[in-house]
Amino acid sequence: MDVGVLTAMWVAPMIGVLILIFLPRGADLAVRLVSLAAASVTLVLSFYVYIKFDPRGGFQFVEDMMWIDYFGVRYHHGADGLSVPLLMLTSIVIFCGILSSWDGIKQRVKEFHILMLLLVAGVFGVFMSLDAVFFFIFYEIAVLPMYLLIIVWGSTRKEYSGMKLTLYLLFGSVFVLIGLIALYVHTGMKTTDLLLMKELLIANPPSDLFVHTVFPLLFVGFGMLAALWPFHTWSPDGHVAAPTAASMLHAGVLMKLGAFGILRVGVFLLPEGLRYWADVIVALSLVNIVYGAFVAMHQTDFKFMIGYSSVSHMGVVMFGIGMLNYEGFVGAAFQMFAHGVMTALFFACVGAIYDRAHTRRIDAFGGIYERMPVVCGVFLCGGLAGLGLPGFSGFVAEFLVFWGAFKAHPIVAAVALVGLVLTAFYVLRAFQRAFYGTPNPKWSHLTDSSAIQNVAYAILVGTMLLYGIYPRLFLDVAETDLRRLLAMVTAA
Amino acid sequence: MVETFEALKIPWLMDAIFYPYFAAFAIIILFLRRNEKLAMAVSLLASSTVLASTLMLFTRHYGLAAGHSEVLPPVSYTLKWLSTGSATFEFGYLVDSLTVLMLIVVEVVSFLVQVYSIGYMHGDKGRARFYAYLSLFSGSMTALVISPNLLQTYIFWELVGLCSYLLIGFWWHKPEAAAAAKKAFVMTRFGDLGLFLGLLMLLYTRGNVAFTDFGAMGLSAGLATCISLLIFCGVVGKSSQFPLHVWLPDAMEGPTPVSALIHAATMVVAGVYLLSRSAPIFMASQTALHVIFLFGAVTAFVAATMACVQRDIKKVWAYSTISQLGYMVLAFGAASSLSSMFHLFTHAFYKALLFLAAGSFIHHAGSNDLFDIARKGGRRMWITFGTTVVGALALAGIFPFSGFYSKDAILVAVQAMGSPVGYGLVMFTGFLTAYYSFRVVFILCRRPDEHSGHGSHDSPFVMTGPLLILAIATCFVGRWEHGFGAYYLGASHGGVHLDVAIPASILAILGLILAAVSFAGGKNEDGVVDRLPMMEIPRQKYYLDDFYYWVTQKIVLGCSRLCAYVDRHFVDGSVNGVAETVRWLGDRWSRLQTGRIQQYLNALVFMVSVLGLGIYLAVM
Amino acid sequence: MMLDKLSAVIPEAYTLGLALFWLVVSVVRPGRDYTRLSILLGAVGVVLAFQSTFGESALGGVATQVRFYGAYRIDLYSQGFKLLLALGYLLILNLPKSGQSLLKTSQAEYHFLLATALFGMMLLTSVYDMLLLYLAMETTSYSFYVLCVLRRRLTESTEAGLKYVLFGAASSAVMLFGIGYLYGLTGTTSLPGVFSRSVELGTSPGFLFGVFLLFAGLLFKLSAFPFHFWAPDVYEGTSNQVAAYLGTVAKVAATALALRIASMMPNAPLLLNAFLWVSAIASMTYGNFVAIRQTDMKRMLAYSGIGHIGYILVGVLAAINMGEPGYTATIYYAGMYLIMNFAAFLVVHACLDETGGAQIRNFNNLHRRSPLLCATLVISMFTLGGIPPMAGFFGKLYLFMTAYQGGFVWLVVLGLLNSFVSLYYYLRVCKAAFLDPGDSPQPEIVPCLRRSALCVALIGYMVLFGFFSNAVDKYANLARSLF
Repeated sequence: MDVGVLTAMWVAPMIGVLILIFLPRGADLAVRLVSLAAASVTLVLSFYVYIKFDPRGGFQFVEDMMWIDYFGVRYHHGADGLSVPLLMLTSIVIFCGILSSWDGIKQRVKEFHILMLLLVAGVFGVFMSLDAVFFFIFYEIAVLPMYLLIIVWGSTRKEYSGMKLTLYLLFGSVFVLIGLIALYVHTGMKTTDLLLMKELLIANPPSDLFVHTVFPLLFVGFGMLAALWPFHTWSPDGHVAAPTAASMLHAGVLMKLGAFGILRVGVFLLPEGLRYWADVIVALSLVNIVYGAFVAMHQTDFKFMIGYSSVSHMGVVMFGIGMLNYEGFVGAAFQMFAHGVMTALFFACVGAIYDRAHTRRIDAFGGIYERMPVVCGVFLCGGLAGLGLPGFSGFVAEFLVFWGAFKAHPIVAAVALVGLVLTAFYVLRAFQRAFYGTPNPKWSHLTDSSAIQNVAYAILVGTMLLYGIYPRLFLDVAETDLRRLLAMVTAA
Repeated sequence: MVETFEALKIPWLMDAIFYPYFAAFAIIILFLRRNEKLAMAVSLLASSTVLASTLMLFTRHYGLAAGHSEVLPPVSYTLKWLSTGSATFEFGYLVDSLTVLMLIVVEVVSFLVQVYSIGYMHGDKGRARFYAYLSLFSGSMTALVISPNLLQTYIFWELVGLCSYLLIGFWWHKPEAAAAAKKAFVMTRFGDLGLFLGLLMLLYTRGNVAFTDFGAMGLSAGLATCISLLIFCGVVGKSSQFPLHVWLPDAMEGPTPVSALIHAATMVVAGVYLLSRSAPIFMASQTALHVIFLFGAVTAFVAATMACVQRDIKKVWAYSTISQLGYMVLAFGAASSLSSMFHLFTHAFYKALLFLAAGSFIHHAGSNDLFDIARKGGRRMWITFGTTVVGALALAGIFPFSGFYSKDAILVAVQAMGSPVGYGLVMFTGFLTAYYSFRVVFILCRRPDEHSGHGSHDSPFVMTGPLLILAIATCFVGRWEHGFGAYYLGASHGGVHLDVAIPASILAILGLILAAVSFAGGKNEDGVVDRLPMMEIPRQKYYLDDFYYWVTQKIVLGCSRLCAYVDRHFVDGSVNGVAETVRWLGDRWSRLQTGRIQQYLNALVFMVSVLGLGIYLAVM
Repeated sequence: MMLDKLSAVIPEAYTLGLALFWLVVSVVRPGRDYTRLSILLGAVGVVLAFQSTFGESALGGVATQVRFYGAYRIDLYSQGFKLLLALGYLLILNLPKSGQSLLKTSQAEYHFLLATALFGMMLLTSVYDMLLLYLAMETTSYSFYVLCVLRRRLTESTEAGLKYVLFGAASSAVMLFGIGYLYGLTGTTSLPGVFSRSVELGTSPGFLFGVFLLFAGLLFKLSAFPFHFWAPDVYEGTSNQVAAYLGTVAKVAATALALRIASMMPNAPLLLNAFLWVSAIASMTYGNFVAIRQTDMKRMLAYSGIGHIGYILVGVLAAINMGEPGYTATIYYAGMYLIMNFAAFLVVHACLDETGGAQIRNFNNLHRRSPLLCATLVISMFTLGGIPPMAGFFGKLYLFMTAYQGGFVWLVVLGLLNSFVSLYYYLRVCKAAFLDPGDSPQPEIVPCLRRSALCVALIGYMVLFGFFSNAVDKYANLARSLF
């Protein structure tokens, strides 16, 4: 086999890292340009993959070779309908993240970009890995740089939050690792390749007890990264503390790794486990949705509010997964994508405001629409997408999830829908308090976003609209593979 | 039928109706935010294009319908938008007489309001934004009207809600406007929840939400009741029925043309339109119709009482709008989609007229207060004043203005229902309507202060022109009742029914007289009705605002506080607690390391023996 | 023929020669700086060890042989470990000495003791007889006792040495007691001879007691719970080089011995399993939990070392119960542990003034003072914490996989949770190095080419080794030669 486009996609940021290491300290512009270049390479590659992807599904662009014979570790990469949009999401978010922190990061620029690119390489790796060991390695690479990003460039209790976030996520990965080891041992220690493991599992079905205990390990482990209640408290703290671009990546992409891991590893290998635990998942994610919205309502800090809204929205993803029908699955996958773009946009806006005003307290503002119409408008777009306004991609996702939910559990779906109204309430309340109202003379020095930031906003808003207006762009890609996954769950 | 449509170039016309507004919005918001004049021009161009296309569509479609003895079947043009295997959603246009009639309302009022706004918004800094929002609204409203299925309706239903939010909050620096915008959005969204659930339920049970298939759904009565009531929830929110009507009066914080367009003539009647659109489902459930009638009647009455005590001219018309929406809804509840739609049709013109006239007064007097306007020479603005009188006559249901005909139709339907209480209530509401509309007229009619310093000039022609057009429409559109009925349902409604028209007219005239007695001449600011002790209840808005305030503050925010507390102290607290425990244990255990070798050796011997013994015992 | 026989013990012979050489030097010219010479000689030792491991044929062609009247077994396993030990020795020599780390007059003496300790440890990898075991153990221990007090003028150093001696003596006594028991029961001092009777004597309390005591001595060398008390005090008190030597090379040697003994017990008594099980969990938990509270870097490394010994014991358990995969994983982990811990010590040594405490806050602002050292530190911490893609992760992964397969599910769960706890203090070090501003003037870090090269090599090794190697297969060869 040859090294293909997928490898190139995660190696490109790594090459960026290598170049950055040898750039002299202080060459900030060069650093930014190099990392933007690396991000654009991944953007182009992910476009290529997206366009070339055959909607008939299955793993494509496969690269497969033996890596460590002794344990049967394979270097096996492939993209399917689930991961292709997420690869695209990642490259969009990193591209916009670099753009929107163009002016915001002023100290230790080089290290910042090195860590960002490292993180992104990890994320790409997770989305394309078909080998449990590589999957796990990339997963951790994606998690760890966040620690340094938060404690060095962050704000608001950054050391506490950084430590909490990192430990929490690594705690989750302990569960994942235990689950993976159990699967590896169960399949006879022959291979760590997910596809081969799947075959072995089919040939030698595990006992019910095994499935019922190992699946929750994987689910909870990955679920922590997806802010599953009650393991979500790292996420608001972490998002608040992280610098803008890191928050964008983290909320926009990293949280999806959790949900993706659930699907790619947990559900793929142990579909019966999902069926068995579906009700619990639904119950927990219902708490996520409603409780997250309620807590978000109480926040006085913009980023906390968005952080909790992410908790609520990620609940929708798991809600969809728990419904065990196609609408729920595809809605969950779509919601991953939609929420990624939306929340990245949110954090970009809040970052722009924070860079200028040095506060994020909702009450401290008032009438800053006058000074920052573009930022406010874009923030409103994010908010509207969050409350599921048609036209934005979030609506299609939520519609599909709730449709699936209604098919499976009508009453629960009705309760979860309350979350949407609550979202509308707190988003608009924050908007009303901070952006509308009598202009506060204290903020008369604020300036609107720079042209570079506007490019980032335009890309993100454009993506939301594009996918909201023409959802088949997503659905056609994802359909076959999600159906296949679902068939595993519902079969037998 | 489709071939005929193709020949008449109707699909092409539909494109011309659908796209221009969105294009205008995009152009303005992306490129013309700084260039107000050009933005206005673009918006007006779009508006006139759509209006022209609509009129062409009407003539062609009407002509086609006239050639047929029966009503034209609906025809839709769609593209596949979303498909999940168990259902497919399409996106496109649905053309039938209901669409065309509604389009006429929307486009005519839109166009007139855009023209009017040239004058009204003159000098406002955000005019480009205003026109962008107006375009987006009109586009969404148009798309809502022509949507072929419930999902597309829902999509644009939400979008018009968004536009309403943006336009109410257009003067963002006013805290009341900001609050009202939020309130409007959240309240309607609360109702939309029901609509969404209804949509899901329909989808779940039938897998199909295309309007054209509603007739052949074959829903059981229970299911039909359930779905219709859920859909009706959305109507309650959007068409501001009791008890979710409280957002509409607050929405008057927006610019007056917005009130005329969105909160009187078009968006708020989307609910009524939706009722007629999905009539087959509603008609399958007698229970649902009764409930709808009940809500409509209560709304009509309650809002009318509240309209009687307002001093703010826009608030009077706002409550009046709610009341009239109640009429439309109750007419539908009385199983008369025709009278409901016809009232919608006539109401749109005269209520837009009243609002625009109110805007003209406000523009002139700089105040919303009726008595202030009167003092500052309201009656000297003779075009504005005259058209207001025309509007008020129509609103009060005086022959031969349009309101008379549509109300007559509604009363006939209610009478046919055979509910004397309902009939009485509606009749009495008619009396109240006449009272409050002429209360406004008589107050405005008062002699202005000599020292008001305002001249007697009227508003510029861009503002009065639309008023005149609307006034003419108000005078004559009622006469078209027969044609309307024939076009819409293929069945004529017949002429005036004297058995209901006479008592209704008498009540209206009584109301008029009461208003005249109370307010014509003199300087008193409260009439007989205002002095009634029980009028305190409508003055306090039936305590609903207080109730909602209590709900949000105590229940919703209380839950929020509770959840936040639980989150910080229990969920997060346990996380931190675990970390603390680990640290504490580490601390404890590290004290074993005292640095004294004797202790180490003691500990070693002790632990080895314990370990050895323990394990030995355990294993043995 | 004679030469041929000798060729199998070249590494030990060379080390012994080296020791004698330094002994002579210490008498003749004690006061010179012999760093370069010692590195050169150490490198020769590594080459010889390499030669004796891989020399004769392409892939691990050492003929397994039992020599010296059945007391000494030479196989690929022992030679591989000798290579590892020689390598560790060479690395330790690269920690430059300062006036604080030892007396100027003790330069040659220091090298002499390092070499004798290495010799003793090399013997440990090959022991096949209990007497030789004791002898080798004591050779090593005595060298270390003296090494610990080479900073004669510092009271901490003396105190540390004293503690070590006392503790070591107690443990030696325990072990000797155990050896006596076993000899008394079986009538032989040959290890395979003793353990070949474990089936029939398996339930006899005397036999169990003997094995128990033997392992107690071993656990002392490994500084596993509850024989760990000496480690933090000694690390803290002694010079950085000796602490590094103790923390890396000595533990590898002890691991080698433990595996060697384990390989001779096909049917381990249940008691031993339980004992190791408890000790593993207690070591991990105790080491990691207490390390959280440490502010002194060397103490922290001592406790983290205790934690790592817990993982190694997991491996030993897996080896006893699972056979080859368990050995392979443990060998892999031990090799990895040598490198990653050394990297940590290297940075500690480079950054911290030996007189002052080795406080974590002394790392503050390291990223400005020396980015390369900062990177080395961060990566070594990540590696120790077992974070992918560092090699330490693979080590841990293999360990836990085999342990899981051996049925030690709870051990795996607790082990992973423990390694998660350990991240807390590793990350704290990273934080200090990467973020905290320096508050007080810190010792200058002299740029030094040799150290930089070493750092780059270590980073490369730690990052890429796990990824880019099929080395596990080689380790498996090592493990196979045990039987």
